[in-house]
Amino acid sequence: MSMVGSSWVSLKVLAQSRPFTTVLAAALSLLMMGALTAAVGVSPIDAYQEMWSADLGSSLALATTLTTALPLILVALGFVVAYHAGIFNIGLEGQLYTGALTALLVGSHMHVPALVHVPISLLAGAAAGATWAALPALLKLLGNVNEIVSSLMLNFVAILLIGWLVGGPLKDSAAASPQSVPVSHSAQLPTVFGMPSGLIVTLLAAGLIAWLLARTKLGFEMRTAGASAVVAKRVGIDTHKVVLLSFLMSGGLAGLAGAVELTGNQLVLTENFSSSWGFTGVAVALIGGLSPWGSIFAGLFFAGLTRAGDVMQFTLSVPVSFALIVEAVAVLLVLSSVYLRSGALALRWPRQRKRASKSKSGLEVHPT
Amino acid sequence: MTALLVASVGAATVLSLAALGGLIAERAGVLSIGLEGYMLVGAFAGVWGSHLGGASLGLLLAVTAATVFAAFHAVLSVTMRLNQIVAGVMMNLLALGTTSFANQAIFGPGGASPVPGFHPLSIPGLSTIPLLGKALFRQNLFTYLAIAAVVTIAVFLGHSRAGLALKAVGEHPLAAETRGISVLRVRYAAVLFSGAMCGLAGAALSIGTVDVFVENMTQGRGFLAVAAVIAAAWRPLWVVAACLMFGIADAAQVWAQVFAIHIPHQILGMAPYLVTLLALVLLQRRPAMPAALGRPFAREAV
Repeated sequence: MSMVGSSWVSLKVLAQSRPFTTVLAAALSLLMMGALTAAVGVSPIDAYQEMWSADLGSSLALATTLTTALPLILVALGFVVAYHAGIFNIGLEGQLYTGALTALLVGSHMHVPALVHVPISLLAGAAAGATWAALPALLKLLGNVNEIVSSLMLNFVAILLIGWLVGGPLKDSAAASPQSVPVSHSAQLPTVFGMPSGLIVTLLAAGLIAWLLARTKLGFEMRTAGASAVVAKRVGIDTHKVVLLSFLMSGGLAGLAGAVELTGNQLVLTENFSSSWGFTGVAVALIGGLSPWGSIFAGLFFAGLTRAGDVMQFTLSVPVSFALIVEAVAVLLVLSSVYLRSGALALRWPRQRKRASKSKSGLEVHPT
Repeated sequence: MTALLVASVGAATVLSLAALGGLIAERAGVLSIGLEGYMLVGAFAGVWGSHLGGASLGLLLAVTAATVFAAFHAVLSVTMRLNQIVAGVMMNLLALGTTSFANQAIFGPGGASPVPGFHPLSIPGLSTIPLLGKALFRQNLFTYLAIAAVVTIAVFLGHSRAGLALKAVGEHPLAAETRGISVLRVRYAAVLFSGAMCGLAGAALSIGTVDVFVENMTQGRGFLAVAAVIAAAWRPLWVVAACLMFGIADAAQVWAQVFAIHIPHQILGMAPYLVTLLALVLLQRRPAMPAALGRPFAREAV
């Protein structure tokens, strides 16, 4: 069963033109930001200056921007790794929440030195995210349940579960609004030269995923299965294993995102812990051309926009939500540009058009 | 007990309007992950319109804005054949960003103060029936619209040529196209219709319930509507039954008052999603999902 359809092809084109896509998206985003600030009567020049000082103006500003980028990048990596195996994981939000929850439990209940506590909390978060992601994978493999629908449903189950826990069993009785007890000091991610050490974890994760996809047998199997499940089966690849492992890695990265954010930034868990990172991370992955390194740059860029939004909300009264608009429109424009470049407009070259449309006809073999 | 029923029907109204729209889009083969976004646009436009010129203008603007928003989505997913999941997720982000931005830009950081809204209309006679009378016949306009919509859609899908054409497009677009049905046109119409229905649903939520707009006020109800469509195996009457059941879970706060037992509302809130997952597992033997759901269609390939 394929709910993915042949638009797979158009995303492939996107993945083949990475630097162009990412630069185009960044330029468009800056233009849109100027237009939106002008729309509420604020000079775009002021906005750009504000963005500069909010993002890079001081080492504290830079550290905050980096901290904001980490969950975005890690979630994007989670989307990318599953995407290459032909799987759409849109359960990242729920996996992120379960990761944060487990990191909190380990980070607040264990009593061990920081050298052990920090990594064990992060690993626990990643393991929990992977476990939550294993559910749609197993439902797909054992019950033939569409993984897109099930992972979407499980997002809400996870968010509601956390909402109940932080208002009930895990509630910090000293806090006014529902929030959990904080993680122990020994489990908090330290800063290194004033910069968040979660950055090291994130870069390691990106490197690992890039290496896995490009250099390992499993990576090759994943990409083959992603290109065509039929071919993969024919050459003897265990596609069930690929589906399960891809989901585990994808969910693990989302869980790690939750754990890094919890132990490195928020320290307590609340019902609104995530700013929809499970979905904005998908935007970051697409803008990053669906590559691990591209995700880092796109994540940093959008974190910069978000931080600028946070600051301009106060200094210039520009609604913070402009960053969301910019992000979504940038992705849609980039994806549309793929469509426009892929032959749909090439009416003058009928032969080329025919070939282009054939590959998008929905008649070829699909992954998943 | 009556209070529980009234609250449940109110919640089910919002869900049913959106879910029936989503049902039509999905039966035509277009994934309706964007319902959440359409609803949010409808909810905001409703408040804005009502602020400008009363509740009727609010309703009109809600339906128009959500339909236009859905039209953008149709261009992306039907004409451009973008990945429908990605397009849906992005449209939801766009709706969240745009409505929050516009809300603050137009009404200031505090949002609008309450605007004129729709209030319950009692149907003489029927509304005095014990228990059910108040729940079904002393609701606002939107509940009656939802009842009318489900009857119309059930007849349309089950007993009309156009309904058959729509289903054909969702099951086997190539076959439909060779029989002279324009897949593109049918899918556009279906997506626009789902936009209009979500406009109603959004308005029911804002100017039909609380008369204000709150950022992200749909809070996943669009996804709940998608869940209802799936749990109901893409059949209209079952969609409404699922929405009623989900509505009962949504009216959780009232539960505690009625039965004097405290179930955390989040636990009740999980029920719809778990039921949908269960339905997906159980329905595997009888594939109910439109065969071409989520697959773009290129006419040149015919």
